[in-house]
Amino acid sequence: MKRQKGKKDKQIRSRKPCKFCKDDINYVDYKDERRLRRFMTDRGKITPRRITGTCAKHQRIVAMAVKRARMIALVPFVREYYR
Amino acid sequence: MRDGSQPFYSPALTPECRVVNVRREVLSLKKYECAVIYTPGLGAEVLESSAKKYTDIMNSQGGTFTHLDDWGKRALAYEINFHKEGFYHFYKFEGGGKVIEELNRQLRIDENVLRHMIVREEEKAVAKKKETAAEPAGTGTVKEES
Repeated sequence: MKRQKGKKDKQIRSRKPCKFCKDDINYVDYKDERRLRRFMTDRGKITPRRITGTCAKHQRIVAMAVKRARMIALVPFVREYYR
Repeated sequence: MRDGSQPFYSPALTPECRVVNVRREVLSLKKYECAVIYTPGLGAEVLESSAKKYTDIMNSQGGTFTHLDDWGKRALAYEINFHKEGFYHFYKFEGGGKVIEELNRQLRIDENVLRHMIVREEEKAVAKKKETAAEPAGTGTVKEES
C-alpha cells in the first residue's frame, strides 16, 4: 500500500499560539459559560491541549473553571442523548 | 469581682496579645464567592428571605457580604433531584473559616437549595483586574467580564 503524503505534512505543522497568553488573561471565570464551551467537545469533555493549542498553565486554569461550572450545572458532565 | 458581664481575659493574655490576635483574624479574611441554586418553584418572597438569611450569616463572625449577583431562573445543564430549572444566586463576601463552616451547614440543611458551591475568588485575578482598571483607557487591554 502506498503511504499518504498528506498525513506526514500534518505532523510537521507548528503549534497554535495559546489564546490566553496572547491576550494576557490569567483567570477564566467559571460563570463564563460561552468561553468555557469553546474548550469543550459537544459531548461535554474538556478538549485536549493538542487541539485547542492552550499552554499548560492556561489549560489547568480552563480545566478548573470547567469542573466548577459542571458542579453548579452551568455545563453538562456528559450528554447522554448523544449516543 | 467577676459577675459575668465583662469578658474574662486570662492574666497571661496581656492587652498586646489581644491586639495581635485581632490582627491575625483580620488578616485571615479572604474573598469568597458562594453560588447557590434554589428550587424553581419558589416565590419571590421566599427567595428574598433566604437571600437575607445567608447574607446575615456572611455578615456574622467578622465577615462582610459585598455583592449579590442574581441570574434569575435558568435551565440546568442536567437534572438535579428531577428539577430541570433553578434560580441562580452568586454571593460575594469576605470572611474566615467559621463563616464558611456555618454557611455550608445551613445550605446543606435548606430544602430550597438544590446545590451550592463556595469558592475562593482568585486574588491574582482581582489584582490583575485592578491593575488594568488603573491604566489609562485605550491601552487595548482585553475585557474579562462577560
